[in-house]
Amino acid sequence: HDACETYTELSDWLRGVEQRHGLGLGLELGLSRHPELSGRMRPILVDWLMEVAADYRMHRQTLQLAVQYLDRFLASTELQVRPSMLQCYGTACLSIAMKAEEQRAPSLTELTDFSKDAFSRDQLKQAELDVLVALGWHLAVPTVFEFLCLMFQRAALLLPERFADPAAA
Amino acid sequence: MDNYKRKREKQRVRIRNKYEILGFISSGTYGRVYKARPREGTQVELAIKRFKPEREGEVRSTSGISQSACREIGLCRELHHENIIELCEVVMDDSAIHMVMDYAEFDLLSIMQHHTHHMRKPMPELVIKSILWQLLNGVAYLHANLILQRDLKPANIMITSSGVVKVGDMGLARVFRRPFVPLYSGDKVVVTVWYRAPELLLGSRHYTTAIDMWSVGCIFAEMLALRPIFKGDEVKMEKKQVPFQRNQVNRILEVLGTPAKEQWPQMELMPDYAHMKQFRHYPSALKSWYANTGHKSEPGFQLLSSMLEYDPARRITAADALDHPYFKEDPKPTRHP
Repeated sequence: HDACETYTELSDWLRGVEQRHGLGLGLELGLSRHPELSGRMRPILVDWLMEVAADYRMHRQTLQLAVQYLDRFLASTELQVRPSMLQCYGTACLSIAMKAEEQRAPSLTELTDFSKDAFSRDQLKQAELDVLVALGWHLAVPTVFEFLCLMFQRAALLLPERFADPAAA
Repeated sequence: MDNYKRKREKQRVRIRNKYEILGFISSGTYGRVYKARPREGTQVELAIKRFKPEREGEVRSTSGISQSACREIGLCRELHHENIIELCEVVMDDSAIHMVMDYAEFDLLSIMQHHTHHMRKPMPELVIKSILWQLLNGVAYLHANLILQRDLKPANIMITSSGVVKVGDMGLARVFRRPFVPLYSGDKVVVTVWYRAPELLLGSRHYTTAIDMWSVGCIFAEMLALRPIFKGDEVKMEKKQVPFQRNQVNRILEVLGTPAKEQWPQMELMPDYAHMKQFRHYPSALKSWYANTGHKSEPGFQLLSSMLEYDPARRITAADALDHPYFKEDPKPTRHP
């Protein structure tokens, strides 16, 4: 049962990191700080970010990280984000997540092209800095992805028959 | 919109208003490192790493904030340990990102050179042991937090004037985010060739904590002998192909001997295993190598051997090494030798 102990240790560790950064505070708080944003805008933005992520064949955790950066940014920035700038900030979060996680990150021009020039390259460049300041540079933090991986690994250890590879049978 | 800009301007600190630059320390592909002192408050010396602005002007498609800055700062931000260089602050001004870090007077490379060229005698065992223990303490902390340093070498091991070891330069370090999944890194080959573990030399693409421990073993040996234990000639990269480091492998075989199958059962599965046939058979010579350094501690030899295990699965971990009998034997390590 060493593996289970390791599991407990790891999930405690991840939870500790999560609490230190006040992650999982909820997006309600984030959105309430920006009176011009409505609850509908976030899912629309996340849908679009998923498209970009699929196009670049990003790892799943990169997208998770980007969305987490976005929620944390909205919850902690001193700036008030207008609807017209939300996509720009979302893209900045994605760009930073890719730099932190992926081997190659696209140039800002590629990203503004992707948005069909909804914002300029300079705006995106500034948005990256605003996001980094708001996040306090805490970039290497766990997301729901790490927790899910751990849970599935644990489940597979406890219930091997349910998680057997059907191809192997 | 103007309101935002004013707010931003207020937040922006100019690096030179806050810190006085005292001198230039080093320069690399990422940017430059300076020695500095805060203009106000306590008089401590600090190191400031200034990341190069991202290819400004040269290419029209700028890439925004630098990727190496994102990685290095993102990692260092989470690290707080006595034996790891501490990131004090990140300052962004108009032109660049600056990491403000602990400053250490010396690095292990210059300390060893000092012993070779000026004092012309070996490093005292107490000093070696104290440095090694603190190095292991820092590395154990990184590994416990799922971080690989990936480029441990004497030049990256900083030592303050009061003798505190600080592992520095996290530029190549990576988090192994999914702990149970082996980390494949398609980034460039890492670890300076003299400190590169045999599994990497044989083409392994899985980076593990054992790779850092091999480097620690090489550094321990270098402190004992005051010269690199495996000083191979690096084969330069050609046409983007990672070359086989023939000379480096040969250096390792000369000292440690040709590994027997039971010593490293997985060896035959290594991608570049075929190259092993070109070497002649060597007996193990580590014992006589150790005797030649003039050091006599038997536990010291045991610890060195367990760090330089061929099989990464059998190589000692940083946490176990801290508990090794070598550190319980006199002279016992101190924090400030």
